[in-house]
Amino acid sequence: MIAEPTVNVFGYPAPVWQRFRAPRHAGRLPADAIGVVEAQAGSAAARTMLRLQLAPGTGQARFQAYGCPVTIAVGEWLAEQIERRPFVEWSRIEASEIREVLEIPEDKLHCALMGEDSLRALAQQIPPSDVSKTS
Amino acid sequence: MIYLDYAATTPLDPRVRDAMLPWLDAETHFGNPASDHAMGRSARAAVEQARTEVAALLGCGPDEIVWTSGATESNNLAIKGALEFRGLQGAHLVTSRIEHKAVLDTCRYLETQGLRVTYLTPQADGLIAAEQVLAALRPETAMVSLMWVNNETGAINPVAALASQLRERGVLFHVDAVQAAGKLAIDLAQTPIDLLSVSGHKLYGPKGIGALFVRKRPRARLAPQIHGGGHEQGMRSGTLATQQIVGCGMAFRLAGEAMADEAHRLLALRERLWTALQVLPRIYRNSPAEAGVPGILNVSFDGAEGESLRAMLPALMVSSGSACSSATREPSYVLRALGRDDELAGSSLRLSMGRFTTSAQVDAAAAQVVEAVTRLRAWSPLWDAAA
Repeated sequence: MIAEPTVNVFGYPAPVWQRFRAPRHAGRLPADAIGVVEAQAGSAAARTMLRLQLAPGTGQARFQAYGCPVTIAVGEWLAEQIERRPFVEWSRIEASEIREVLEIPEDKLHCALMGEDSLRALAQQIPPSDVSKTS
Repeated sequence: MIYLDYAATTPLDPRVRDAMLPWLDAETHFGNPASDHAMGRSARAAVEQARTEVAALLGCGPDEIVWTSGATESNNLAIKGALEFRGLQGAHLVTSRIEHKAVLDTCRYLETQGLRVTYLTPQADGLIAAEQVLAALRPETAMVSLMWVNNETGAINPVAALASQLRERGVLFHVDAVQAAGKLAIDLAQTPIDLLSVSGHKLYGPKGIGALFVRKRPRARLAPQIHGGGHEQGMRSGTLATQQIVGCGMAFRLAGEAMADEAHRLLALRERLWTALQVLPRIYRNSPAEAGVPGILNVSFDGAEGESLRAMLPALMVSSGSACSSATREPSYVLRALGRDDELAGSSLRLSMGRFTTSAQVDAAAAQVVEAVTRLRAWSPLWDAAA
């Protein structure tokens, strides 16, 4: 069991810190999960990357992130929303909403934009026949 | 909390604190060292005793020590002072790309005033070879400024070997010895360095005090950078801070007494830490194993983003690269100069140990770092792809 960081020394916004210190959706869906779709935004060259996964049949979502704590928090929050909200809602989440909910400061705005990009890319991966399963 | 940032600053040794306290007393010990009465003379004697203690550690004469506010001022005084005295126009200076900002920014300022500067790139092991320096010399080269020990990696430059060769060529040699003093044997009586900067707070002394060694024979001439009163042989005006100076003297004395034993102990701790971290695959040692100062270990962790790694370690006091440039959150310019890409430079930690570091602390710190890196790698799509 890996210990969680307990003190927010660098003063990240509370909604970011809460998700960074103990994300519940980090990692990959099981290899035998059926019909998993995934999409990613960012790149290694940009030193930041976010990948989202969804199993339409079960509605389970996961994320993987390489980047600062805000990037990781964005991944966690998006996975939460994908599981909680219907497709028509989560597929329309914009960077402005991500930024507002997570209280992301101006200098980290690119993390919210990457979140929006990865979400859009994921929505495009879902076959029309599976859209209803994710609603 | 585990403090492994001794290269950034050190805690005040209790013995240093005890030596300083009387000089903060409002009744008897507050006299100006420049005053010619009993209290002034008492303060002056304490200042001169401290000067002798600093000189003893460096192997020079007390009259070759000039008090400053710290190493940044010492570096400024050495480089600006010597080159302004000589005349900047047409002058050339050789330094390296991995110097402290106190040297680099001073050089960049002087470039705007007409100085020409060659910035050497370190070898793959982080060292600047003597041959590199000699090859960069020109007929108009007035000065070489090189750090003895790099503050980020702990790499020890071949300063002693270089000094005599520069003397033969008549080139002034300034050495930033902030990370070397008290950790490596320095004997300025045998090593023809002209100017050498040291700091109090890197050696368990107080902050706000440093010194510049200015050689008397042959004399290194400086244009003062602070005017007003002609203190310190006219090279650095300003009322002397008796309590800081007394603390600095005691710190240097204690460092000299403990140096040999401490070097062995810190070397063992550094290698214990490195061994413990090696349970992680794909980590890179940025500090040289052989030509490295005992207390500094700089490591890059592939697959662990630097900012998140720092945030994961709230109870561990370490630096991501230079403490002075951490605020910019840019990858270390020193590690980039060593050839590390931005990713590895950004994912580096400098763990620096000192007088009060224990093996239990080293073990606990290693465990925390291993956990944090493992956690971040488990979350990373890049690590997944590379596995």
